[in-house]
Amino acid sequence: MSVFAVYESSTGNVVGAVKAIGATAPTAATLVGDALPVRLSLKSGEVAVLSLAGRELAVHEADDQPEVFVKPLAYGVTRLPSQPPKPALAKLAELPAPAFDNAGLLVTVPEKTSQDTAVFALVSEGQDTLPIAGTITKDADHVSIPVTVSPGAHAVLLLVAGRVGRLDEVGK
Amino acid sequence: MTGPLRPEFREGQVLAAADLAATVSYARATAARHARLSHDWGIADGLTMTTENRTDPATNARYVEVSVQAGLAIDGTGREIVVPAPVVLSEADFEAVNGADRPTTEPYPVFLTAADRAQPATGPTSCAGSAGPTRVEESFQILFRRLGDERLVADQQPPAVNAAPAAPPVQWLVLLGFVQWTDGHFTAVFPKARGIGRRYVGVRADTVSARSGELSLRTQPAVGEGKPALVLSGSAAPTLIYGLYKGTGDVDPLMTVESNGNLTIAGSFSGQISAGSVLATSGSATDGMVLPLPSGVTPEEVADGRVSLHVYVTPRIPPSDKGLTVPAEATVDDKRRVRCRLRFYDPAAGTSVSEKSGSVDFLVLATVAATSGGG
Repeated sequence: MSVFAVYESSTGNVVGAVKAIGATAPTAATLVGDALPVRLSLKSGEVAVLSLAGRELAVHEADDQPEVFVKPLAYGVTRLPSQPPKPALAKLAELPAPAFDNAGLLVTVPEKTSQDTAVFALVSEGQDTLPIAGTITKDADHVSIPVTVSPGAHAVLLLVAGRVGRLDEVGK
Repeated sequence: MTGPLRPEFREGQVLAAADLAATVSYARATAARHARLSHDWGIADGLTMTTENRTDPATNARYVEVSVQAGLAIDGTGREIVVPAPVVLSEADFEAVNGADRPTTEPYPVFLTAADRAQPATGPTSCAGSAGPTRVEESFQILFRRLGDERLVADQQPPAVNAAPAAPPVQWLVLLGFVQWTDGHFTAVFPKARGIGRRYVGVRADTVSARSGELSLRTQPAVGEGKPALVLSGSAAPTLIYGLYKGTGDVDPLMTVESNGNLTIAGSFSGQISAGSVLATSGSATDGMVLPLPSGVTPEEVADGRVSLHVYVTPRIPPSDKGLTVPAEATVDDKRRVRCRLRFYDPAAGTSVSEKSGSVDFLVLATVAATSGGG
């Protein structure tokens, strides 16, 4: 049975998955509707809901991968070096947690990148969701993406191309 | 008004030319009525327009010589129009009709119509009789018309049911195709232009019966590999087969109806769900996903109540080496969106309990109520 992985288009990070017998091949719109709600329980006991717009998402059909239903953010739709030039579902490398700095959201990767790397993030601000995007340029290991948030705890969904997606509570 | 008059002869009767002509006219009228009223008029065979590349020696311009191939058409009066051999289209005839037009790439219509041509008298002649022709060639004429005149084809009206063949014949236009005209030459031919194309003969029949025990319908005169066919077979196991011709000439079935009503299809089936039926889909989905509907069920059918959904979800508890994992929430909302949260507790790591999104195994049943008119 195939698994239909829903991924964020700019980074390839998987954010959800469905596999089904007896259904027609789905589209991103049929699987997530207008937006995919991403929920995170904060230490305060509140549940923050980030809204990932459906237009940012696409679907990739891949061979069944049971682990993707346990940790979907650990997977990405990407081209593999030794595979045919078509996207594949791959397990991604680890990514440190982000933090807020004076400029915005600081995203750091463990080593300098060999090429420009897309970054996409959702930040909760009260009931709202702030979508932000940036690039870790070639030979750099971090980027600070401008965003203004209020002091306190925020839910952050961080997606970096080729890296495990993270859903964290980040304090400002 | 009288019906058709059939000539009768008796012994000793003095036969006049009119009596002999009546025998011919009677047969011609009978054949024309059959062709006119039992068939739809059009091209029966051949009459395609073909091209040969040519070069104008004066200008070195390339053009095409257009020929109408041999064939047969039946016009709307029931008259056969036979083209016995290929005919090259005359550029001079075209220029006489359309030569004054401004240059255009729009194709001009070319028509075929019936024509009678009297042949010189043959054999001995009488001093008392007239010296007129004793044979008439049922010939044809190729006509060029103005741009847009192809629309005239649809306006032609057939003669009355008992009308005798007209002499000279009615000018009934049979569209052969279109030619493109550039700098005094034909440069291309087209079977169709401006939404109008060649028309072919048809048959008016309420019953079509086969004598071999098998009736075939296909889209072209010859069997062609990959072309569709509908075959009604009355063999020991009667079947109705729709399929595509194989290279061997056999039909590869895509849909078969057997004599007991069994239907077999090679592809998928879609359509209205019959009342009382139940369709299902099952699988797994992560938190936030909208569960898919079973094949054949549309969101509209669910929204307007024609189809009822029964959804069962079971949380997937991932294997864990340590701690305890229990479902905190496993449900779907009214839009079939999964809500699944798992609660983790690891005594070795402290007293805190954390929650994360999880995934579910699901079963979606779609039922059509018998009163909802699902068929």
